[in-house]
Amino acid sequence: MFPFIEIFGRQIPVYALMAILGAAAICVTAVILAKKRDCISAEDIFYMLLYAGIGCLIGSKLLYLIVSVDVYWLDGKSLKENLRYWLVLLTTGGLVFYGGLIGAALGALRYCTHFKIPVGKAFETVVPAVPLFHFFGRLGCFAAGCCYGKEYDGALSVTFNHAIGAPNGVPLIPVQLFEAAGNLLLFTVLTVLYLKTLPKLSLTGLYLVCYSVMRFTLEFFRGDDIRGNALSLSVSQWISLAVFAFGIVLIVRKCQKCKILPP
Amino acid sequence: MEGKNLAVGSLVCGILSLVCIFFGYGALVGLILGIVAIVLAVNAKKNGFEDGMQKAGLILGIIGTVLCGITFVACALCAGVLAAASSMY
Repeated sequence: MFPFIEIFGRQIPVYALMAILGAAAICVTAVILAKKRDCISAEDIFYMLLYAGIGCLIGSKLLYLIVSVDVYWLDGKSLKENLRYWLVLLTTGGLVFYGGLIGAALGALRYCTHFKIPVGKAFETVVPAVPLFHFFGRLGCFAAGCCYGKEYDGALSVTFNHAIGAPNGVPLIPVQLFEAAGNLLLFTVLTVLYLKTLPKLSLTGLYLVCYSVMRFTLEFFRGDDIRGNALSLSVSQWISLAVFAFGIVLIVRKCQKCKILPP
Repeated sequence: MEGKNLAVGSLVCGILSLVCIFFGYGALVGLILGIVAIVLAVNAKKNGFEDGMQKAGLILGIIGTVLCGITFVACALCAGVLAAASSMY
């Protein structure tokens, strides 16, 4: 669609701008949610999000580098040339959401344990806002023309003309918009549940289960095959399975803690 | 005293991260410095030191991280970017 916009004569990637917008949205929303329940200070939530943001950036880049590891050595080129090539990849390559999610969780966990903040309460406060960040991220993907869907010529199909990643002039499934809509729905549901103060429900577990199911399904409609596959499933689908299992564990543990389920 | 030292470190890293924006691949260094500035500012606050220097370090760190991050962040444009990068060498 429009991968770059020009600001003061410099080309700025729209994806990065949407990521910044999403980061601002998650900060504002999480701080508001923290103030609503008043169980954890808004300042701690903000600082925790800064740590989570750092973890997110590192994690998403790291996973991207891991899944694309097979293209990291140029045969017949010197070590110096390869090092320059790696620098280009590091500074211009992509990000992977699941890596970001895991990195953000580790960053937030580091903040909570270091400064003795209750981990459960902090995570429950922030989690409803996470899909909002992802919503903006997927809109950025759509603008950039990456994370695109399979070829499909029918209702709701979109055709990119200036995409960097997606094939231009080919009608595709707008899978980025589907995921953005799903994330917006998830954000609404989690926020309503949070505001209803349901202490017997693990919102973190619920988010992980719902998102992993959505992602696993939408992966079948993705057309960018270069993301890495193993045993006919994509890397993201394998991670979805693990995330789903972890989400179930969190929900069951919370139910056992609240004596809804036997230990 | 420790908090003050952390705040000074945060301010210095924050300023340097902003300077790095103008040096191409230096943005990667700027990104790291911005992250360090944020961590130092948060630690200064948690050590009980809160004044303009700590806040300036935090804000500059966030701005530096965001602006340097713009050059660092791109979406999963694997095919296009990797192909383009490969063709450069």
